This record gives sequence, structure tokens and C-alpha cells, in this order.
Amino acid sequence: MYRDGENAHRHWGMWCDDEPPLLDNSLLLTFARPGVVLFFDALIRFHRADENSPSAMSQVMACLRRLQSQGATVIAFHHRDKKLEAGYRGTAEIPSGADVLYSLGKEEGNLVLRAVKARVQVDQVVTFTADWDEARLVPAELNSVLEKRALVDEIRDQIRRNPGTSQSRIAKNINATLVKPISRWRIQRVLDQHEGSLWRADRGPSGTKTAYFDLFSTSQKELLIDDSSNTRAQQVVDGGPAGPASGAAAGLGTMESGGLTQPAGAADPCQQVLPTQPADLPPTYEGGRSAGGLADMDAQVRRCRNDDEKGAQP
Amino acid sequence: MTASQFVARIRKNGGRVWLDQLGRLNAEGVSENQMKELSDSHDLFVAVLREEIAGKRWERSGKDPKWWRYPEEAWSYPEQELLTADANAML
Repeated sequence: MYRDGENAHRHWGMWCDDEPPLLDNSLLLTFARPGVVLFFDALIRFHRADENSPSAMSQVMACLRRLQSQGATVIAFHHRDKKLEAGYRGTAEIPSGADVLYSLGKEEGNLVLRAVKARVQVDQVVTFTADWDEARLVPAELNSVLEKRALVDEIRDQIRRNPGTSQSRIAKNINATLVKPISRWRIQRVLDQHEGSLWRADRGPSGTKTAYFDLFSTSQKELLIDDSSNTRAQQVVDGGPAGPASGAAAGLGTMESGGLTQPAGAADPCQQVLPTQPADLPPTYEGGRSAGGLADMDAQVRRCRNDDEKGAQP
Repeated sequence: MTASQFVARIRKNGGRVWLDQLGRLNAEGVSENQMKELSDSHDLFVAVLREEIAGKRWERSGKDPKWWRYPEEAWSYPEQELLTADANAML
């Protein structure tokens, strides 16, 4: 591909008088600059090295790196291996020299890009479906991914509705109307995978998981927001002990997620507790910010400043 | 009895047979024998219900020949009405 004018791009193919240069040609460096995307389709057409030779391919990848270091984004298309095992053909030096390597495959009739190697945070799976009438690719999702996500949501919903529910009850409720029930084994696997991140499990005397509780239930959020009342904020400003606002252990005793039997107040009378963060709970997040925390913190800071100013006056 | 007759009979007797948004076959208020029949001919009933949904979508789209081009998410469920862009964003 080469630049024709300031904004136009054209394919630089074998049909041009000036044929595309190989990767080690310094001519390419004149195109490599920030904002430019260079495509090499296919990589093998732009070098004469042996793809199975690590030393030879490391030099090829170094050429691509040189273009990238000039500020350009470099995308090289490479062939897959015949056995479709590694996701690429040739030596492991090829993925080593790349920042991100996606392997293109076909699943459920969709085109699927799976990240084989990623040095930066990227989507692990990107799925497209081809709309041949419009000659375009439409973003899609695999049924297997959707199904798993739905199962996680269903399980979470069951645990939220019935705190302390068991695995068998979860399976029974999920399969209540399904003609082809989801196996206990699969539900167990999802429960194990997301334990600690979405829910937690209480264990019986023999170590088996007997009851599941949601970690981030809505009622918990509401209680935490209620907990950041003026009384609590006032206590912190006054420097007094951050004990429970009322005799009801700051409302935490009623939490659905269970296990929070200790009052949220600080054990040490000198310890100060943030208004939205009980002593034994991680902060609750709501839409990327601490639930009710920012406004309270602002009010608290303002109040502290006012107190300081009053204190400074004779 | 054909599959669509079987579904119609279940519905007539107060039962429900439907596909959820993941295309999974669900049934409620059906006898054990009917449930076994649904399970044995699972794919057939899924096909019948998908056809039913496709028919609804086509009709709700004003019989647009390109009704299938709208993404699945752009339809309400199970009414199969085309959602506005705003409503679709809420999904």
C-alpha cells in the first residue's frame, strides 16, 4: 500500500510499475510515520527468509519492528499451520516478534479472531459474520459465549434471589422449564469459575460447598449508601469513634450475602471509617465510581475546611 | 400429528412452549409424555418455533424482504417488534 496524495491510499501490488519493496528495503521507512497503517498481505511475499528458521525470521520481524518504531501501525497477514494447532505457520520467532497475534478461524459459521499472543490488553475473541449481500462484516458473538454468559447471569440471579441457596437448587430452578436441561457438572463448573468474583460459597464440615451468597447484591449497595448518612460523616469529622450509627450494627447484620456478622464499626475506638466503606468490606462500585462516595467525600472535605477555618479564628 | 399441531395442542391445553433469547427450547405446563416428545424431537420443535418467530418478525417489519438483516437484539422478545435505536441501546 502506498500513499497517493495526502489522504488517499492505494494498493501497492505486483501490477504496479514500481513493485512493492521487500521488508528490508529502506524505501518503506519513508511511509512509516505516526497515523499510517501498513498492511503486508501476505508476509511471505515481502521476504525471502525461511519461515522455519528462527534466526532468519527474527531479522524479518526486526524489519517490521523498525517500521513500527517509526510510529506506523504494522499489520502483517500470515498463513496458519496445516494442522491448525499453533495458529501460525513457521517458527515461534514470528509470534515473538509481534505485539499481538490473532489467529483467524471459522466457528459456528462466523469468522473468529482468537488472540494467540497479546503483549497489550486486547479482546481475546473477536467474532464477525459475513453479510455477503452487502459485502461487509458484521460484529457478532458466538452462541457458546452467549450461552455461557447467560448461564452466569442466571446463576447469579438465582443466588441473589435466594441467598444461601445450594447447587442442586440452583440447577433445579435453572432447568425448571428447559426441555434440554443444563447438566449439574456444567453449573458446578461455572460456580467454581466465578467463586470469589461474583459469589462466595460457605463450606460444610466436610469441606463441600453448601450455600452460595452473592458478593455484590443490590440490597448490599443500598445498605452501604444508607450507611453513609450524615451521622456517620459527622462522627468522622468530629474525630470520634466510628461505631455503628445505631444499635443495629450499621445495618450490616441484615445483609443478604451473609457472613458479615461483625458490626461494621471500627474495633479500635481511634480507628476512623470512611462513610461508604465498612471496616470489613471491599468498596462497592457502581458504574465505575464508589457508590455514593464522591459526593459524601466532597461534603466531608468542605465540612473539615469550615471547621479548620472556624478553629483558626480567635 | 405434526409438530406444529403438537405445539398448538399444548397451547390449547394451557401449556407453554417457547424459545428463549438464546434459542433454547422451554416448556411449561406440559405432561410427562409431551415433555418426552419435545425432548426426543428437540430440533424439530426448535425449527418450528424459529419459523414462528421469523414469521412474526417478517410481519412486524411490514413484510420487509430484508427483515432478517436487522440484528437479533433490535427485536423485542417475545413480541418480536422492531425496537427503536434508543430502546435497542437499553438492551
